[in-house]
Amino acid sequence: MNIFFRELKAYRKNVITWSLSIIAVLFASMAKYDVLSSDSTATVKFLEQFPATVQVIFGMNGLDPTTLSGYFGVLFLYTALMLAVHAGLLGADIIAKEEQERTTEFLYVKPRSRSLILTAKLIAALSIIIVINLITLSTSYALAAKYGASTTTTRDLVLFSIAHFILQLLFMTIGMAVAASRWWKSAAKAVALLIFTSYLLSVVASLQPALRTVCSISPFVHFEAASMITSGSLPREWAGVYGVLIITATIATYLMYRRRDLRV
Amino acid sequence: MNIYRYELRRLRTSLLAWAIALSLISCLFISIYPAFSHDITASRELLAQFPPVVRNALGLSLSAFFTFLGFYAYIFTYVTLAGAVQAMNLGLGVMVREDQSKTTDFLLTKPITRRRIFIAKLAAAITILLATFIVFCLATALLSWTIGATTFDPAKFIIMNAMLLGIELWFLALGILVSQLARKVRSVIAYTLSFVFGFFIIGVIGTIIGDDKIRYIAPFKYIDYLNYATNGTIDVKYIMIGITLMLGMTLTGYALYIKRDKKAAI
Repeated sequence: MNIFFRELKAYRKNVITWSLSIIAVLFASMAKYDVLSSDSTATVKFLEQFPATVQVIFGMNGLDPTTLSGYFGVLFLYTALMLAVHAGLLGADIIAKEEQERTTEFLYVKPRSRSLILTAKLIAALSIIIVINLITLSTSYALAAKYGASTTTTRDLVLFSIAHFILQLLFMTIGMAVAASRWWKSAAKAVALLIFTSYLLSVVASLQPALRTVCSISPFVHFEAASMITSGSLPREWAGVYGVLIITATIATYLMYRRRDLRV
Repeated sequence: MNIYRYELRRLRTSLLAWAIALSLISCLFISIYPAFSHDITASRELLAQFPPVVRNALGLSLSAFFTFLGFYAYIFTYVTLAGAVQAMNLGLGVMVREDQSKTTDFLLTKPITRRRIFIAKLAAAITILLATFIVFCLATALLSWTIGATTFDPAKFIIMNAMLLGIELWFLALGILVSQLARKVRSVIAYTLSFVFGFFIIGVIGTIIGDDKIRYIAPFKYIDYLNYATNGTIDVKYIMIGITLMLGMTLTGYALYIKRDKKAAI
């Protein structure tokens, strides 16, 4: 329990900074929502007939930014990106920091098994990403409520939040697994590379639908705001795939971490 | 000179990795162009069927994208995103190297002023950025020429590429400043990624809500690439803001580096 609380305290400042940044981004984005003109609908109608690439370059992504759901849908990719960066770096850091701070010996001579330490760290990281996720959801909801959110908007916000959470869990567990493996000198770098590549692949996939299958390794491709709004549900099969990945990464973390050499 | 050479040697692998990564990213995007130009032909035919009023309103903004440079301007956002990560990572990394490897006392007890250490490190970082940039320019020029996008103005192409260097120098300065303001940098990439994506998202949101004031703090939006590609005009006001901020950040970083209390290793 001590380790759990110690970790929560260690990340207090980190959580506050990230929460404030996310709140600031959401507030700034909503600043102009009410004056967002709807006179562009005529243009949109015409543009819909154009090829996909042309549409994407014009910022059309199947979302209608004049509705609340559509507006948050536009923001979804960017909030997802922020939350993924946070969760991935957190997962890598919470494991790797003992070695970076030279506190390995201090922690591991305590009468606690490695699995127990790892579990405490895992639960601490999990609590942190849940807090960040809920702050994102509640801020979005509060902002949406100000402009009169309907039940569909609420449903969409919850859907986005679940999608956010899956992405957070995915990148967090991958970060932890990489940090536990010692295949990479810097786990944070590996996670950063992964997130960056995933984001770029999602951009390529939207620009060139023909390349979508190649890009489908990127989780950002599958959690698309537009399709979530129209279908009213998550992409189930992909959520399943990522569920399996999350569990695999967690198990791998335990297996590798329990029996590896620790740098002191 | 020793410090400069040492830093260059330390950064050799990262230089290689980034030169390849940046070239790959831009080449990946450029390789979409042939398919895109096919779409353009289809779009032109579509456009011809529209009533003249619509055609005039739409055609103007569409035609901007219908050139190679217009397309290049669009993808350039993502290239600069990667470039910014490299630059800030470099600026931060080079300045906190001693803190991280606990060699502060080793370096600072040498008979060399902090001023010269700072300058050597800055020069090494700029050299690395320039070297990456040259590789990037060669790769993009070669590919653009290979895919047959021959109708563009080479001077414009070079100036657009040069904007990447500008943004990189801006983020290098930011990295230097953050390295001196942060009490302790445990993970360089964590700071880099948070800041770069943060500024990127600020820029995107500025575009979504169409607020010009946000542009002051959105380095990715200081230059409107598309506007430059089509009209050849650059908004000088934002360039000046960018340069002022860049110099300000570097000088503040320098002043802090000279004066700052350094933590000894033991």
